[in-house]
Amino acid sequence: MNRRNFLRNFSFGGLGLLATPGFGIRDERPVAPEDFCLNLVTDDADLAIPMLEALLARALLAYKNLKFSEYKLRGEHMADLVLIKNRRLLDYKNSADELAQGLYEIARALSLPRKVENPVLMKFYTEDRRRPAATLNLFGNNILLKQLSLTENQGAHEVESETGRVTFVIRNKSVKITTATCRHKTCMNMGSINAAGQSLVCIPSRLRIAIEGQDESGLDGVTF
Amino acid sequence: MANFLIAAALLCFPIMLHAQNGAARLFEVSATKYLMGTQVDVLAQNESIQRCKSAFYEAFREIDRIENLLSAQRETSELARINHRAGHGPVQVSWETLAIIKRAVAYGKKFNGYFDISIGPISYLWGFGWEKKIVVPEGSRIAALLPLVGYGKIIINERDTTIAFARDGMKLDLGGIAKGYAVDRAAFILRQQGIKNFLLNADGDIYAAGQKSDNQKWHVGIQHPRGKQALIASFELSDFAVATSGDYERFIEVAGKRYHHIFDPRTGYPAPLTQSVSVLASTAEEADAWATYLFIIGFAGYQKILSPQTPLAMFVDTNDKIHWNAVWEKNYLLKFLD
Repeated sequence: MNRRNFLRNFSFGGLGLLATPGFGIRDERPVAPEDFCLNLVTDDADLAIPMLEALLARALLAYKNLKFSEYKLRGEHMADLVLIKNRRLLDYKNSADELAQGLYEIARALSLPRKVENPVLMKFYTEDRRRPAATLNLFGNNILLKQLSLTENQGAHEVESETGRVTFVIRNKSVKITTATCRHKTCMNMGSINAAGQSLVCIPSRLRIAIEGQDESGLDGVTF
Repeated sequence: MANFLIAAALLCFPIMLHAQNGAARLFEVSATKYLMGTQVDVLAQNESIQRCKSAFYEAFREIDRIENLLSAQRETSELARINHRAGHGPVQVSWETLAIIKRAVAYGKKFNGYFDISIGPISYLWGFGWEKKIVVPEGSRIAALLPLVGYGKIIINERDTTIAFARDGMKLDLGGIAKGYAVDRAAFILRQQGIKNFLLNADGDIYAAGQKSDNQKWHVGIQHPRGKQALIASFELSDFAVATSGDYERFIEVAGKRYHHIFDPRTGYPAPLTQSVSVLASTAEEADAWATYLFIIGFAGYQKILSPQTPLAMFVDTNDKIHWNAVWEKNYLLKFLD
């Protein structure tokens, strides 16, 4: 995967949009001052995390509600780093501020960019609850298999793991499982999801379809 | 080795972190893993991401260990061994398994038989919770199995640490208690690993420890039993557990009638009085057991047993009416959502 594909695959979650290669800024609404997203694909999370922890503690004290997610990826990927601030892709290599310089050092320590096998995707980002649900993450056995834009992928889709398969439909930014190979079809009884933080799970198939982001109500858990 | 374990934990589940301002930057670290036939989520506040990862790994490993003891689905579990052999004579088990069965029987006595882990032959016949097709059995088949149900027929020998059944064909179903116990054990491990502020959620059985931040407790929602993915209410939780029993997660509909997985041990049929009940208790195990019991006896039954020792509960009855304790509203900032 080249750098263009890296941007295409791993930056739209931060923008809340499917970025066009390069600089896909399509949303012109006013943004929160703390709107921030840092994506890193690496095969050395043990090295990256302490460095990022230290950097963020120093350079991002003004940012509130900063989140980070990490997902395992399968196959060959381009290990690289992308920084998006206020929905604009920033070139940390040619910036003088502390954050950019720190990221440059981390990129050097991780020998970025380079091709890696089975890396992790780490994302630091701020939570903008005004942002509509936009990205669907498909997980199989806790591995991030695919990301889909809710706005650009209407219709039926299929996701498969080693233990099963489900078909789901995206319609009007809502997602519903329509068929499943599992025995009890509990996932088909879960209805449709349309808000950030919601997910549909097929336990026997170990598949999870989750809309990226935190629940609008800010809940930490739901009893059911 | 420690590094290897951390790396292995890292590869097993997605991690979510959330940083906050303050004297020391705290990260909100979360992970998800499939265990006990369900999705287990853990969320923690800590200064160290790596400490959280390591603690999560140990907590998940503890849940997996308990599943190896108490899952009826795993052929090698102690529970599977009991179910296969205890009708023919005493089966030697670990002290831990004996202790949880003993506590479950005590719940059975306390709840006048409405909670009964010997419901296994009935739940197996219906197929809920077992790796088989869910069916609505003929009434005669249910009636034929009811004599096998009764916690009094479980013979516990503490001296020899053995379990036996008074009748062949009996089966134990720990569905109303094992998940809560696993959550409590995982919570113990997290605390032992130095994680003080966390929220553990195993398929709706939740234990919240400490707080989300200095001025904020953990914020938990209650799902609506009919509005799929919709919420009834939210409330705050700290150093306490909540569990919900509902008729909407595992069910089948035949000729327009819903048949779910929570059985009244007296009839062998799904308990008909409640859509869902959520219960607050000091441990997830207790909340889990009480939720099963209260689901079966319904809100009217709850009113009859209400005392200062009865846990706080919120019911949605079969007429879609919501009932709740005012104390819950006052002490846990219960808020109803539109």
